[in-house]
Amino acid sequence: MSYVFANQRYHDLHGSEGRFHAVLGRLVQKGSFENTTLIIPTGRRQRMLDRMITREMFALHKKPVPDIPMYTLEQFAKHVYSLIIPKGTYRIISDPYRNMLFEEAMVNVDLPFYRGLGTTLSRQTIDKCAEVLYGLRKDGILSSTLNSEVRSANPKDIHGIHDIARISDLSTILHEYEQILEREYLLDYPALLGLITQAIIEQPQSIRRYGTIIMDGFSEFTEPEWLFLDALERSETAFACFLEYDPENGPLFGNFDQTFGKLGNTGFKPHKMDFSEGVSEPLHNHLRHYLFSGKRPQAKPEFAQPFTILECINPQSEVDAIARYVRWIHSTQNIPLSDIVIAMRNPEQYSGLFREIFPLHGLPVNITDRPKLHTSPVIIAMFLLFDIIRHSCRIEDIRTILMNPYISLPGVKTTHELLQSFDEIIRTMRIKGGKGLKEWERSFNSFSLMLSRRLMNETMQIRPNGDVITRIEKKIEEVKQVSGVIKTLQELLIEEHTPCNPEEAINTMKSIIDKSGIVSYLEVLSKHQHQQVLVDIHQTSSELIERDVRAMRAFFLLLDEYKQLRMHRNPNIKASFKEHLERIVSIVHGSQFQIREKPGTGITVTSMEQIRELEYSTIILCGMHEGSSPLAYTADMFMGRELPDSEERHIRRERMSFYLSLVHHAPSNRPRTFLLTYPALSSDLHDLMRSHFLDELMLVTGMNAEEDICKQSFMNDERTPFLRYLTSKEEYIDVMMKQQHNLDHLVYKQIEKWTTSEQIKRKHAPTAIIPDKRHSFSITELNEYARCHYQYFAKRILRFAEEETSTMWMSALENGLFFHHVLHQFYTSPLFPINDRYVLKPLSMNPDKRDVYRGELFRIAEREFRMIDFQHPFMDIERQTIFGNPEKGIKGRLDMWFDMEWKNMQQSQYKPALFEISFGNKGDTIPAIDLGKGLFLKGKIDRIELSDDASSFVIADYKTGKNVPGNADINKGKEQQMPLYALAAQKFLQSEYGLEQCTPHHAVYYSLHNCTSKIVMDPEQKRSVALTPEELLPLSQNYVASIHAGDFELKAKKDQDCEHCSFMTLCRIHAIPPIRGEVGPDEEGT
Amino acid sequence: MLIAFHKPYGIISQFTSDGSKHGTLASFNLPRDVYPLGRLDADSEGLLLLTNESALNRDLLLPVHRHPRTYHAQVEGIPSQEDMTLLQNGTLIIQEHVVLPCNAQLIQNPMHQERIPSIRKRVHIPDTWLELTLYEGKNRQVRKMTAAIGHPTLRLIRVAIGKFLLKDLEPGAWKELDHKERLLVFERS
Repeated sequence: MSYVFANQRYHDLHGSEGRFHAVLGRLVQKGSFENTTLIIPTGRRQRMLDRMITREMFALHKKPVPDIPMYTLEQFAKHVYSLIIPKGTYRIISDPYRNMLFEEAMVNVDLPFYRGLGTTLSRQTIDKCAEVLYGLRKDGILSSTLNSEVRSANPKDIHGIHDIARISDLSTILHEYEQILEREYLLDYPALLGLITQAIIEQPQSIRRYGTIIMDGFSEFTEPEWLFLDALERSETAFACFLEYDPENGPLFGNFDQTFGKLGNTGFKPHKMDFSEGVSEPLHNHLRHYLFSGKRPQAKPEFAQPFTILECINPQSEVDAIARYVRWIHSTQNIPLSDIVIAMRNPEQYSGLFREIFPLHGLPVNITDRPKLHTSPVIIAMFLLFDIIRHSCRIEDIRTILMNPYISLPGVKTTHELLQSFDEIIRTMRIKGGKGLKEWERSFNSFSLMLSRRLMNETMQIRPNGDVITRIEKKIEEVKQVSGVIKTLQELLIEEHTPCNPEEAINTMKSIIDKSGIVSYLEVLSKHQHQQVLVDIHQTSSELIERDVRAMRAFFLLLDEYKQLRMHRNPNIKASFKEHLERIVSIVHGSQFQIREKPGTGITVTSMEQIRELEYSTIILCGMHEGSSPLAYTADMFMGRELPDSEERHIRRERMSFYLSLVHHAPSNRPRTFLLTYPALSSDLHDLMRSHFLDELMLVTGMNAEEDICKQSFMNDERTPFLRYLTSKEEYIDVMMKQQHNLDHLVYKQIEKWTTSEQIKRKHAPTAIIPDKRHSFSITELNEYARCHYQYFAKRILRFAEEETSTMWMSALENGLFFHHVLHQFYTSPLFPINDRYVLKPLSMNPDKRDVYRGELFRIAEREFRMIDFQHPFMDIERQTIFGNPEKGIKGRLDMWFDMEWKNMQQSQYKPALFEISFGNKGDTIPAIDLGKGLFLKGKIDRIELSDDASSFVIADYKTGKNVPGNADINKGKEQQMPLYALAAQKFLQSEYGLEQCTPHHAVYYSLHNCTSKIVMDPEQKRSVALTPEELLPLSQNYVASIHAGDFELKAKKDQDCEHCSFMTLCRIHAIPPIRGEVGPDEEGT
Repeated sequence: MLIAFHKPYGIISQFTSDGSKHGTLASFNLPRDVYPLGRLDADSEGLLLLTNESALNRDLLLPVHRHPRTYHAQVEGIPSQEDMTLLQNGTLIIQEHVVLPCNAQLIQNPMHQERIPSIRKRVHIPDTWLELTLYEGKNRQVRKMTAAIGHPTLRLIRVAIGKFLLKDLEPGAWKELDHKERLLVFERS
């Protein structure tokens, strides 16, 4: 059933010409669209009608076809505006700019509910408020209406306003937005409609030039649109609106009944047309009468015939099945691809799959979705750069920039090593990020300075340690690389607080984008694409390039609009660059970009709305499951309560969408086929439920769910031959191979040859080299071997690196280095005489100058601490631990150490003489000390203390950890440092310093943790169990012999020894029997 | 063609961007006609199979086939025996879905290559590696399961599908499976 709602002038001029297509037919016959204007709901339908009319007119009249005056309602409104409103009076704003104005309105006003105690609103709140308020404006609701509702709110009224605080805020925002529009002479779409509606009412003759205005294909109108239609009805122009509506089933889908009633109320005279006034398909009429009625009408067998319903495994398989279906009907039934359409309720769910899977089947795909601009990869890349400014240089932003393929920072080559270095450096420096680029620069400078000083200290040593120097140099190089990235970003970007006007801000943004290499990356991709060179991008590269370029174009248009409108409004007002950026973010979040339709190329994939009233011979509706079609209803509680009838209106709209994708009103005898598909599982394997729309369709067309739903998993179903249709030669080969088993072996042998065995080469091949006989051992090596032969093997022979742990506190190594440097510098400061290698004298402190010594120690320590003072939250605590806090009565370690040292100086007969004596290391002047039986020792002695007469000496070692070894550990050979150093020192004191008679007396550990000393190997100690170095030497010599003999056997050990071992996963300690006396859980009771 | 790919961290299991900041499979020079079999979240790593044989989709993904997948999960804290029992028995209810029983055990550090960016370790809270073999693959299931027992997942690596092991395939590398390896993929017990 069709109705035409027309004004008197239309009836006078045209009488009853029948349905829309009959009117069109007569215009085509006449060969002229002069004095006629068509208004159509969608651009796609507009293009399709344009093509159809052009073809038919040319076929009839054989002469050039004039432009057909056809608009969408919005285009028509803009056209009328350009015609009747003087130029330059107003400016029409885009949707994204509108969002920005809403945000501006929100910033300008006080919002007790939304802002609460905070100062900023989240992006989600801004977007949601803008969406809701624009929805209200589209429905013709003004701030004054909202305000009066708030004032008259009655909490007892269940349909009234309940959330007064929220609505009050919304009303304030809306009022401010209206003020901005009015103040700045800006128009959004509702304001535009309002303006031209008023103009038409005041000057009814103003739109005469449009001739007869005909609207078709609409089912719903908003309030400002109603008022506009009302104005058209009263104008001096003939106006008609065609409505495909049957009061019998009107309530079942769409909101026709409401539209019907409203049109009648606005003064239109409805004229009912029955079927004789136009040709209509029987199935179409059947569906219009019965779909969603819940009845099972008498259905003809041919009603079910065009439909195939297919249950697929998951969305991916669904798209695969559709691709096979398309190839199959295209090849077997010669249906052109442009005559096939794939539609879905929510294209965003499927467009990615179609883009990726269709090319695998050799199918060109023509997807016309409108993705959100902020989800485009190229826009994401641009905003990564801006995020550095917006979020003050966070770590993840820099890392993502380095990993982003679109961005190539000038002079920076992103490699895996650079990323590793970046990660390593920020971990070592404990950089938190988010404090601006300058803070990063400061941290890098401080760290570089510290490293350089360390390097200088090391090289200035009499016997520099080559390994340490190499390590520091490597670290310096890494820091240089990473700080290079920061410097480049600093040069590229602009300070967030830089004041600039809109034009300067936009020019800066464009310049940043230009220098970041994004445009040139796209150019290179495009060039490669043209040359058909394989680039590192998958099968749909040309479309990806198009997508990126369109997104970029849309973005630049937005930037230009922002510049023009803002300059027009406030050319002289400057804002910070960050403020401009935030506005741009707001604009981008509210905008979409269009992937253009390419008529005639490939198969069309679009939304259900876009195919309404279009004539395709094959229609594929996919994603027909609950939640997708129909879309799940979610009550919008943003206004504080659910709006009346909103669920009912939602389901009617969904039904309408489904109905319109099955039927079209143009007269046609062409047969149509439908494939309706749905996945049984979602991509993450959740069960999905078939759409009840399919059940409704089956009910009215006489189909049966048990029998008429085909399943993708049943490959041999005769109704779905397309599932077995092979779309590529590789598939043919595959099938052939499976059928001829004899081929398998040979073919797979061949394939095996082609596989990339190179890729599975071990990166770190172990090099098993047992130390040669001249190898110099360090104390750490020997202690490791003593602790666990297997650990020594894994670490020293297989050379597996130990697992590193990072801590927010100063590490043990940093603590050790700090104290070593401080104490070394203290004793080599001008307060003490210089010890040379020929005249070695013990150092002493002048008892009258305690404060001078203490002051010098603290000055050195302060200087050293500044070098390691990084941005980490615990540094203040570390400082307090070292320097103390007199205000809180906390004594620092440095003070405690000085007290201990001062006491020792006064009381002990041994005084410090030599510090940080390195021997046997690369670059050392003292060679490795030969202690006999193959034991060549290298190392570094922290300090040697001499007796006043230089007849005996003490080996001293600084310990930063809590645990300090004792005589028991030394006697067992677990700690070989003191005896071996004592013997080594004795040798080089003789050879290097001429102290022939100087012998070791004892050894002392200075704990830097609690500033105590512990004497070991002291022959004078009471109840001493200390052995002499000579007695202990054979233990170490035996270890060396075992290493040379390749004895790395795994010995049974106690569990606690292995608890923190880095090599536990290599080790088979748990596979060997427990040590004697212990019973493992498995052996219990046996 | 069946391809085993070691998906690195921060890469989504598709070739075109999903509008996030994550990278895509397009950067790994994979053959032009393959498509992922199933998914692995952007923040998970490990074995991802890709193929141009559509039938494999059915064989591997249909839940009725109960195809095993093995994961190594580095979790915060040390799960107790009761926690492990909860994981193994299939009594956890995650988003109204009772998870199927699975094999779960504590393992020593499997020494996977360091992740970039490295995981957020907390100095004073130990972490543990679990090996879980699941027979279903709901969205972020392992993460939800370990979170449900109070041990959030810090790092998740899929190390095997069927009996085919990721072994020493490096992150970002891929290889085409030979006949024997294909058989391992489809082996269930």
